[in-house]
Amino acid sequence: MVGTYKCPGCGAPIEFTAGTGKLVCNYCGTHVSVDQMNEETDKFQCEVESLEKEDKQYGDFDAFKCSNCGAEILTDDNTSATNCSYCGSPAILRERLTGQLMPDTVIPFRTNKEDAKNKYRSWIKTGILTPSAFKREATINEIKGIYVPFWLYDFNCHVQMDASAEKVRRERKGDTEYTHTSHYHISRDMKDRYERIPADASEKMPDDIMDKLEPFDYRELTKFEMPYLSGFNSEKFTYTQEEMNIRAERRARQYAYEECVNSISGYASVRVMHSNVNLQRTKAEYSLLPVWMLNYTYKGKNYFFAINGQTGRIVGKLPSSKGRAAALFGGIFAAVSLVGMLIGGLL
Amino acid sequence: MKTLLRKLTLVFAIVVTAVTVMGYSSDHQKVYDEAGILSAPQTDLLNDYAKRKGDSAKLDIVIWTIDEYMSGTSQTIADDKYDSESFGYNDCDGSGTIFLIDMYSREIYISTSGLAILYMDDDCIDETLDDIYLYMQDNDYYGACRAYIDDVYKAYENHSSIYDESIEKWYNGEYENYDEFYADNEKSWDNAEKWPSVILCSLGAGLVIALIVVLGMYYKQRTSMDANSKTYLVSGSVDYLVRNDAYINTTTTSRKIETSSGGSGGGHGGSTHHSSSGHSHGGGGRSF
Repeated sequence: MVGTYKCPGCGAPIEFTAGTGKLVCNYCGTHVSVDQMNEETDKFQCEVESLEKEDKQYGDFDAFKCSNCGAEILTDDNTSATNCSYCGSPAILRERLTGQLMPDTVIPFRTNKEDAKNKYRSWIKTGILTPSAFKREATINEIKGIYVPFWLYDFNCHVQMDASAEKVRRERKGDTEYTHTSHYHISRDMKDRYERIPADASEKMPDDIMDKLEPFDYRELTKFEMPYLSGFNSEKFTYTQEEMNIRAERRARQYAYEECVNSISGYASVRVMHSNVNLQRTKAEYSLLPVWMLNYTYKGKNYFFAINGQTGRIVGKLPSSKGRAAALFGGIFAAVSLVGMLIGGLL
Repeated sequence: MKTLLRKLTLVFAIVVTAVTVMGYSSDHQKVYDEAGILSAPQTDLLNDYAKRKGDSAKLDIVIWTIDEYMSGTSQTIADDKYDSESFGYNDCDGSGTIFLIDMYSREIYISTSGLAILYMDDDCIDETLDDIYLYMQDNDYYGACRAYIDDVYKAYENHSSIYDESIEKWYNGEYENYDEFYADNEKSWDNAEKWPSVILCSLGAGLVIALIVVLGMYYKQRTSMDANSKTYLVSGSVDYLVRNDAYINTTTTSRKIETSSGGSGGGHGGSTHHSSSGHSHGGGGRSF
């Protein structure tokens, strides 16, 4: 089933607009809140049209029919929201967002596409070594808003630790220096809790980039409602909470250990003799988090940029043009050497 | 015929005088073994060796042994001997060294003059004395003299090429004495010595700075992970059931503090002093 939310005013497809927290009609300007859209669909005459899912399979793609123009929408297995490539109207694949696949929570987009493009533009400017292909508008327009599936894990942690530590005091009497080293035995038994350690559950998203997009501001985490996805792309999880647990657990274990070690302070040196970290997972929450993404292939290499759709934090590695790097290196080398020789000659 | 003969005699006399005045001092005796510690064949061998090496180094390399009381320090004794005998590669030059073995006060001393001061700086004199000392310990005076000649020649060979132009002027007779020579050339030596290091330092600085800037830009384009151990910690959830720091003992170690003395400044050639006759000499010695 493919659904499209329609404007209660004019019947045109209506999209969730980042920053407003509402769905706004691009044609007549009608604003509708997510709750209204969700609860009073009948009244606003925007019932999600259910279209027959065609049985066609195109390789790895599933074909759906656009509820607005009737064109075929091709999606992969994991897409849960997209746009029709012909008429551009939002298409939500409801069956991939219900039952087991229904997210618990969502952080709606706060930065809109223009903000994201501006962020990217100013970021790309900082890269003196970046080839100009990355600065072209055509490239920048490829930027896409995606709700990325995440598992958010809660852990109770229990750390037991034994360490030896030293304090060092030096004093000088005449021409002799005395070093007094005081030895201590440190014991710790600590409990703490971590909430919503995220692990992205999408196969397509590079884990390291998703990790670097953190932190998200969880105060804006709300109960999942489908209208938030209207106009954006969305994925369903490819990895289950059990599969991703190990990543979050590793982080929780490290955080708890660090917390405990950091409580040993005021010493010149600390050596942990023994430590034991026990974890108890208390909750796993399925959540969609907003990410602006730009995927760009340059000289056969794939470059991936991501912007946190909530906080605007940008992550990615700007490619470096070897020519530019060499020119810059040569320029600085020559200039500094010359100045050095001038100064050396004058002295 | 008579006048021709007279003319020829005159020409011959002029040539002989010129050769005597300008000519090599290599005809001089090089080894003065007044203490009699070298055998006659050894003396001959050393004489030849010192002449040969001295000619190619354009230095007068002299050996003098004594075994009787002489007033003054070994420095003044050696310097005065060198000056009074007018040693030197040629008369207007005076470049050379004298190696004194004083068996009476059991001291050795090397005195340098003219260009030899430049060739043999204080470190070089020290090293030469080290080499000589090894033979002196074994009473091998011949070996000590050989080592002395070898080291003087080595010092000539190893002298820095920055001196070459000045040495040319020295040979052209542009200077009255070593002091004048030194004063006139010191600045250009300083500069010549400075330039390679200035160029090297500048290139090095350019390389390092360019590398830092380019690598900095390269790595600036990477983002690091912002979330840390505090990001997901539930505030107020940290609870210590045990938090105990137990003192065990204190150990003490001691160490002598060594005071280092400052090094001496740079310069060219060896340090100099003036002998009683007013000539500049370098050199150094020690007891054995």
